[in-house]
Amino acid sequence: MAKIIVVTSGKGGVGKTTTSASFGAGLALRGHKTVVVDFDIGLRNLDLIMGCERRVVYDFVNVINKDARLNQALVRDKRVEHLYMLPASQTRDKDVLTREGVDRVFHELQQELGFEYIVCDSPAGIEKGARMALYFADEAIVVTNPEIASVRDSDRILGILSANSRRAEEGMEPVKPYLLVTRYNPDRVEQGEMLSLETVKELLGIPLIGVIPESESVLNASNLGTPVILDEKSKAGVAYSDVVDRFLGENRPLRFISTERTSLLRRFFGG
Amino acid sequence: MPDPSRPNQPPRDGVGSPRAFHVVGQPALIFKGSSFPLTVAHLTTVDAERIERDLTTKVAQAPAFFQDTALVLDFHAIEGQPLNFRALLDSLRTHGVHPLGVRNGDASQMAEARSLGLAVFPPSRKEDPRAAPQGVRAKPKLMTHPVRSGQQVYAAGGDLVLLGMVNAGSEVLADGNIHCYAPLRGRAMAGVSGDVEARIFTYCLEAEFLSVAGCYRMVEDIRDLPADVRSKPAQIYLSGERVVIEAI
Ligand SMILES: Nc1ncnc2c1ncn2[C@@H]1O[C@H](COP(=O)(O)OP(=O)(O)OP(=O)(O)O)[C@@H](O)[C@H]1O
Ligand SMILES: [Mg+2]
Repeated sequence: MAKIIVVTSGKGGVGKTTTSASFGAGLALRGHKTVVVDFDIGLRNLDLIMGCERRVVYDFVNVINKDARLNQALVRDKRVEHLYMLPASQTRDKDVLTREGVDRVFHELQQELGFEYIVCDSPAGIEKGARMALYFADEAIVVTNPEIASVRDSDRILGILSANSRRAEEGMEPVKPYLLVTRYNPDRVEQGEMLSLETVKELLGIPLIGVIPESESVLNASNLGTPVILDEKSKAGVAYSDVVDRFLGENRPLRFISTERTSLLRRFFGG
Repeated sequence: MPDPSRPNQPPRDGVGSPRAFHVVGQPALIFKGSSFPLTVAHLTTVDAERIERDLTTKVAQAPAFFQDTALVLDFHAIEGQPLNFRALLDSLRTHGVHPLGVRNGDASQMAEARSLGLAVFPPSRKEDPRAAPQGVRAKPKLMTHPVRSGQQVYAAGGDLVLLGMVNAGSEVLADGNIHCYAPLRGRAMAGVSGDVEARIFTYCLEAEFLSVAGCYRMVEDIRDLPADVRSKPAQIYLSGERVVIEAI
């Protein structure tokens, strides 16, 4: 049975799409057949970040409306084997996604096409689109920036996950949430301009799956249409690799969470 | 005797009529004890204009609450004062409220109530008009999960026990006390139906808003909380109208 993972945040622009692309690519790189589904109807950009916008013919909405078969809409990644994408529609009609439709598509992805992981890139907000993206999830990656507004929105999403997901409605095991702190800048934390990792963890009270440092390589990678995880020289890329390993049960210590100065001191004096 | 005006009707009460057969031996009225939630309105003035004005505002604030509400009038505070009883009743009825009876009035007020067809209730025990509602309390409501931003938890008729944290942007309410064994960062309201004795207890006070029986204290910035209770175990209770925050 495939696992459905939603990448969600409430707040916009925190790094959901960046995370969905890299996380999906990371799972595929490790040999798991993975599809990343763009739920951001009307604002699609997952295809840009994954560099396959020119190969989009049909989209998620066409499949839901039975205008196209799932096979026709899925876009296979050219660089990474086992990686697929289901693009969102450009038509600005958010209400076309129905639970029955999404359920049918997910069922087909799992049962007929043999996907192991379905990664759902959620739109921002807490309205219909975001609720639909998280409804079928088994696990949730809650992307949070180290600032109070983002923490607050993540908290709202966690409330919705625990009350309005399919798992909650059907009285199953609750959706398993993971905290992913992105755009983390240890220098600015030290200056008191950003919340510390400890504070974010304490406020949300869910297990931490990783910390992605603020890094220019993210913007460069998305301009090139490459998930940043493929850039092995980038700190953000390496941090995303750690996240995927931890998700698959490996033990990876956190990196890039202290300033250069403190990490040097650590290296010399231990601790 | 059959009713001559309705030749085809069976006799209405005669033995042998099919309807009468069912009701033989059964009393026409069956009395059973029952209790109803009644609102008590304490009059603080006999000034008809002020009463009408305040009533209009109150009803406008909560029209659904007042629609067809049955009311008992408490005259304790206006005992011995001249009152235009009829005008008061008219004013209540035009607002959709049904006065049922009166209590705590003086002898002439109570006599007038009787003559106007209202019930006369026995005097209440000397109590604070806002004191705890009597009667059996509901079982405490237990929350083991965190209460997150945007969520609201209400313990009707009793206490609320919270084992998970109460996050900023959430709201916890109870008719009784609130016990929070984790950080309290949202809005907490105890005694929401008017119990002035209700209290809030927490392991770690960082709340945005605290209220007991409608008296409240806003905490715009947690640095406004005194150091001995900020992020520390504390209790919140009412002293008169004042919300007291105290270390425990
Ligand atoms: N770790 C990072 N370091 C630097 N920039 C980043 C990082 N993560 C994301 N960004 C930048 O932040 C912006 C928003 O990222 P992204 O599109 O992934 O967010 P999103 O949560 O999907 O946004 P939306 O809510 O609009 O869908 C992009 O310009 C991206 O390049
Ligand atoms: Mg996005």
